Amino acid sequence: MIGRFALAGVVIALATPAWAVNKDIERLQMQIAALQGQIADLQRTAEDNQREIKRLGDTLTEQNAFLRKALQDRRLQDDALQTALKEFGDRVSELEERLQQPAPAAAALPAPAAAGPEAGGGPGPGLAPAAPPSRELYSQAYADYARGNYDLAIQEYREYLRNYPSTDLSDNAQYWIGECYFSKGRYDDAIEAWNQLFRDYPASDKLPDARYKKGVTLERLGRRREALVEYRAVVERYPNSEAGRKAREKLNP
Amino acid sequence: MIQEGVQRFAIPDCGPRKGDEASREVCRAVTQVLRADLQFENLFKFVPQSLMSAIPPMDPENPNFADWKGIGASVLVITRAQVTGGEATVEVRVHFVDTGQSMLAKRYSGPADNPRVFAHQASDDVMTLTQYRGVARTKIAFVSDRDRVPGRATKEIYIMDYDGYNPRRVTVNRSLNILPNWSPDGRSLAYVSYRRGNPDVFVASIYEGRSADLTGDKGGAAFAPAISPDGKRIAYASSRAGNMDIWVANIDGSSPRRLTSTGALDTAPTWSPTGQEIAFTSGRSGSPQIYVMDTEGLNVRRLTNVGSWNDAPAWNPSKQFGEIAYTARLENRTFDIAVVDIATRQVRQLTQGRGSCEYPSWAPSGRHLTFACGRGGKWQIAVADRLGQTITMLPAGPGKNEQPDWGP
Amino acid sequence: MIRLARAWLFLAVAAALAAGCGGKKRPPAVATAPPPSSAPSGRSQPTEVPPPVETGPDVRAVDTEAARGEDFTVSNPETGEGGPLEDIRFEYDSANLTDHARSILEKHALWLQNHRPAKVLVEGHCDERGTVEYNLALGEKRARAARDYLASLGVSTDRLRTVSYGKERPLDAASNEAAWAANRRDHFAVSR
Repeated sequence: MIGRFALAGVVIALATPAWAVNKDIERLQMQIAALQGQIADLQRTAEDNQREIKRLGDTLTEQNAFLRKALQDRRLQDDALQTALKEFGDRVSELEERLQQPAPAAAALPAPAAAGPEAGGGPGPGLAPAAPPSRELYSQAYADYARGNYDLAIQEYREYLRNYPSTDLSDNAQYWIGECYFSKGRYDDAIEAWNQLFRDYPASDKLPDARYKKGVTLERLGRRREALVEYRAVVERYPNSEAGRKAREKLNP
Repeated sequence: MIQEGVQRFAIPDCGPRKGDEASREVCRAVTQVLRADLQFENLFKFVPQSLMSAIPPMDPENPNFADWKGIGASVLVITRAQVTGGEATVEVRVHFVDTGQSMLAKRYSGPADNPRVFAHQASDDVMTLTQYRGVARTKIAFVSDRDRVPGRATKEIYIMDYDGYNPRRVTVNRSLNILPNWSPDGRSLAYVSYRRGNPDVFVASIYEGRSADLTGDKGGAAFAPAISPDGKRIAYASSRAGNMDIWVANIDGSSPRRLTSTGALDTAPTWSPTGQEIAFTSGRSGSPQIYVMDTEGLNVRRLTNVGSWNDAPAWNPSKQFGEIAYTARLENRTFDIAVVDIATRQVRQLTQGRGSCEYPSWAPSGRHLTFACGRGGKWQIAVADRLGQTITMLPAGPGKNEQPDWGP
Repeated sequence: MIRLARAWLFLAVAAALAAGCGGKKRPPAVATAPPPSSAPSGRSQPTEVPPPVETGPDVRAVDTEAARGEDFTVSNPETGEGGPLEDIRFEYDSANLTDHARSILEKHALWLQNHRPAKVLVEGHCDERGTVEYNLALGEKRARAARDYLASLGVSTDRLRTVSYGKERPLDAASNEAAWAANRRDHFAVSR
């Protein structure tokens, strides 16, 4: 603890990006080490927690690999690296937080839902990762969207769709993938995500909003003529929706 | 990095030493305020005064760390002050008791007549040793009728230090001025003024003494301004299209766009920390409830499911927390502050039995919030940690004080 | 690392934000960062450039021009109440005109026919329950309800303006049913 305190002070005094990055890495590595220790403890003491810990551990390993890759990639700008580190740090502290209260967290977990396709038949405890409960996964994805962790949110919405392709939230998850890409400024991917919503969930109540947003996204790409086609479609198909009103405004400014 | 609740701070009184009464007085004030500031941060433990008084007088240059270790301190904060001709020089040093290592040593100087400034700065400097941003130099804007003109029901906008001290008046127009909202850079305040007869949104540059009318001449009422996290846009409620709707414009008032159009009362917008979403109050389901939408006014979801009246949302500006504080009417008839997790929708109630409490607003770090509580027309401003474990009524001065907005 | 941690950093702080409002100005604080002569040797080398001085300009008053809208009313300046046209009352959390309110508005319409070119500012007010924002919206709806009804009775909309005071200007500051009922109202301020 003392060491950490000292470290923090030094970094603030220096405040150079290179130091800050190295320091962040150091700190993260310390946190990872601490986490791994805690994971080991938990596995020894709490059989019941194994599944959850494995899931968290997997995520951590994944993030770790991502970080290593990011570090190796010399082409990454400092900014991008720092953002990645920050996101990673947020994620680690969140995992740390969850791990600090393992018992209640595990107690609060409902029985694992039907195993996903990857799990196959009769997965032994702790062998294959069971699908997290539907609600929880969906909430976590939105929490990450709201935090600005768009890549993570996309990953989680995809995981939701893999495990739960036909709940009443599945079309929403597909919609949100478009929203995540839109917020990242990856407009082509956003359009593709919404196109997939139109294909896979033709009865979704998100269609008016998605079609309008597709129009907005096309406009941002400078494809105004295509955008107008979308707005017209919204007005014709969903005249009484909020999206319909906005589309009318777009067509008759 | 300091973990919560681990370090135990000792912040002893300034020791007896040579020096005039003015220096001793400044030192006393700095120590006292620094203690209060760090306690408010809600991150550390503290050695009680009674134990500290057992330590023999120390040489501030060479403290006997064993003494401090003996009473359980892990961090020792030593303050000194010297006043010369109205100018104060204040030194604050932070040591680790275990190793004697100096963590922080700073010297501040400035006019001696407001020593609280030194303490607030020092507290924020100590906070740089943690992962959190200090709260001590933040300001709270609020509304008060303390300067009401006899014969007129006027309210003006004021700002004060986060601890309720040092209030200063911002608007001086002897009309009704309400609903202040800080810009993220702390240099401007959006607010609502009736100075032209109708409620309009103004943005005041408080250090330049200018203000601009954003919504005048457009017809209808406009209020509840909320500046976006990047400072470039402003959301507000306006009836210029006939019904009370949420609008978003550029920060100079240009290009206003209507986001909602249900025919119900839509009001009280608040931005998500990423600026990608807006939460607001709508009566579209029959009673006021909190909804969330994107900045196009689409993808609208109802957030609150508990309680018959949920209003005045304030999105926690820290991405870490993902929660919205709001004003809720629970079983009884009073209003209380509650917080809802935006992902799980779990609700925690923060206040209880303080009359009515409303108008929550978060500190920039998202670790504290402010709101106003009152009954029978007597309203005062409170501050609390985000879990509501400690709620403090601020000494905000005379009059009815309400509608606090916590700024940078 | 440790050397740096131990190093003295000097920060000069300009005293921010003097007390008092408006005119009272404090001279700008002078920033100084002398090395401390009394500091113990071995710790006194200022190795760092001091952080930028935080300047704290005084807050200046805005909106100093006198309010214009206030001149519109000619009624009781304290509360804006009084005047020739009686208030109408509303139910809790409602902007619907009651039968009684309609009958009062019909009298107002008649009075306005006989008092051209008097103009009316319809003020919507609310009781203290509920939030500031919601009550401002509700007061607006109440004012518009009366305005629309007066217009439907033939009063020219040129002579009608609306404003919502929400719960900001109660007639009675008490917290009881009687006070709340009195505060849920449209007031009619007449100017000639």
